[in-house]
Amino acid sequence: MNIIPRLLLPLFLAFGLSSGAQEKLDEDKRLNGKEVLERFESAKKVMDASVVEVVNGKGDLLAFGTVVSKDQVLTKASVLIAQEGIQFKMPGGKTITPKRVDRLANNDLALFDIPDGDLTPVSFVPAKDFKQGAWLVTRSLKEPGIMVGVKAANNRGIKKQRGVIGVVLGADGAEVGGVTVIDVDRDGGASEAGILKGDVITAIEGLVITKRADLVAEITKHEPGKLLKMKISRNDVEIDKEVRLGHREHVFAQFNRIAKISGPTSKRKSGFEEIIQHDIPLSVVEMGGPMLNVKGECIGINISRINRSENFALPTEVVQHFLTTTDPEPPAVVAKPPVKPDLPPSVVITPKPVPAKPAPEEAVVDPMTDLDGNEVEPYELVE
Amino acid sequence: MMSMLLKTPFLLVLFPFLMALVATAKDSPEPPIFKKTPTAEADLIQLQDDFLEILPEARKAVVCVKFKNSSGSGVIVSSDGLVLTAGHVSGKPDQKMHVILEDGRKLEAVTLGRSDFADSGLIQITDTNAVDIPYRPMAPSDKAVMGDWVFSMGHPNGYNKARGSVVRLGRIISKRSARMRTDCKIVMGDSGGPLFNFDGEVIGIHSRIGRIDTENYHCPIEAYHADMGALQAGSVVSRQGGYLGAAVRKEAEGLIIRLIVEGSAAEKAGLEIGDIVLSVKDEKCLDVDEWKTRIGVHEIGERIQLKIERDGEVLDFDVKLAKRPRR
Repeated sequence: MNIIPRLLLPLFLAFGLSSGAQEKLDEDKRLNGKEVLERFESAKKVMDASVVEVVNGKGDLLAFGTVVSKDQVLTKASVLIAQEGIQFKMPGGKTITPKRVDRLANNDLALFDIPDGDLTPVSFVPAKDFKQGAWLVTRSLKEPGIMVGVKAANNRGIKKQRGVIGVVLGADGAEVGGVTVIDVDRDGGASEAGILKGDVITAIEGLVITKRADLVAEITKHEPGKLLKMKISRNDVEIDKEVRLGHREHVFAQFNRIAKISGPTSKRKSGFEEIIQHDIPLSVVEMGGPMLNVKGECIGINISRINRSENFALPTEVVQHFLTTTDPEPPAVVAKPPVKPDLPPSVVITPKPVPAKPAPEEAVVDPMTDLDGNEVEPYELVE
Repeated sequence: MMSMLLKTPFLLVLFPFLMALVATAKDSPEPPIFKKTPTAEADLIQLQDDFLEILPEARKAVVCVKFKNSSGSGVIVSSDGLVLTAGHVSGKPDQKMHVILEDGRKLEAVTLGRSDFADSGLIQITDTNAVDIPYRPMAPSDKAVMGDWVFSMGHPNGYNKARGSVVRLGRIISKRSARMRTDCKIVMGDSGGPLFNFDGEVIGIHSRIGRIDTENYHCPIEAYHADMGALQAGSVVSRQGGYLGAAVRKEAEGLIIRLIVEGSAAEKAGLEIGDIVLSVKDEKCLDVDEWKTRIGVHEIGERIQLKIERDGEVLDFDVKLAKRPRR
């Protein structure tokens, strides 16, 4: 080693460091900073070889897909609903038209065949011993193409949730002109939206309502967290309301604040046999890709963005059960892909990612809030 | 030739450097894994191993704090059930609350004091059924520093038995006496929950979400050490001590006064907008947190020395802190 720098080192030590410690940690050295991400070499190799981008005919990115065998890819089923012209942008850049395998879309998974595929699959390992706190790596649209975090909580099943708006419904019918609200739960979405006792609900999500059963049926279609567009009639005046659908068990106020600052989240947040929870900051289109451990082994598939700090992934065991259950029934809720002639393989379409909408959370989180969502004075100015 | 070299002053000059060389070679051991940016995949695995070892122990002391229709988080720091939480969670002293432990036990508790300045708060478990209460120690002051890998725990969105408490890994981005910033994610319901070091000691309590979701704020443990007597006695430590009336903003040139409150001590002393703050009480003042802390610890009537730069001149001010002027 060059002797001169070592001789000069004590000099630098004496004078150079007296200016004091840095004020804040370089962004490159933070959890998802460049210097940290660069170390996940094994996982990065797997991501580059075994992840596809799922796009529609217009080139919009819908999700990632995970290569599970040399000629099969798994992705998130519900993002494909009503989409036409599904294609995969493969590792290496080629775009191909895959063939949907008819399978019950349990746990929101969809399977595709890649004709003449010669792909590199991920290597699944059991997730049942994967501990809280262990590293997790996901695919990302941002450079360098991965993001990291840890398994955040206990695994559990997520049953289909029934949402509530927090009202007691009364008289309905044509004479009433809708469904009357006879009581409002102070801790609910209806109250938060300013719905009062005596209001008559006349429409929900564009549907004109005269019967209680129809209102309940429509509400039941949606998941907690959804902002429902409703119309109410008060003193013969029709008023538009946006009502957040809440959970029976959760305190609404807190749930509502988290929903407000979360930006776009996955429509489907429940009906999963078992999930792994993590907090890697992914966008709603970055679902469907593999969840890797630090060694690059696959322990699950990312399936749902719940809110700003929560994502769900399906563990290996659930994924493998899906892959090995050869149920020939057509998927229950997914429209059959339209019959279109396959594009010749030489046509390469460059998919455009969905243009990043400015996240609604910018508007709500700025200025600083405390953890109950109350605004607090910014840190710049002091009295 | 050699003996001539030894006799020259050359070696006398070189000698201290040689000693320093030996010293630096000996005294620069590899920092522990939780203090460094990983330089290889093996470092990541080591960090994970250390984390997985301490996490189950740390978890046991994390509680959900339930009061009326709301919930936050906290951490038990003594065998007799002293719970640290955020000041905006515990709120008024002497209120009944419940804490839910890791093992599902729901225990009665009562709020003690809080500091509005630091957003620290204390709760005491009072439940007579409480035996064998798990806890983790508070870290000593000044142990945690910028760059340390740390982890946040809490009960976001309320208590969920199947989910249990939630953990997120991150690093300390900055640390001052009254505020600490990390890139651990926290969200509503995490308020009052603990930030741990890799020894499983409590180094901070979650306070506020930042402007971007990868910069969040915690009350550092130093604030609890500093105010422990007052907090245990059920006092509310107000944020208002002696009032200066000068608002500062960090800009390229340094800390600049950008607002002088009418009728305040700052105005009376002759401080002006545009003044660059060089030092407070003869110590460099690097940012707004330092400014707030250095001034905030003084009472009404106390004097503080400020050195400022105005139009290229260095000026000294001796300001007597006053009461906040009525608006």
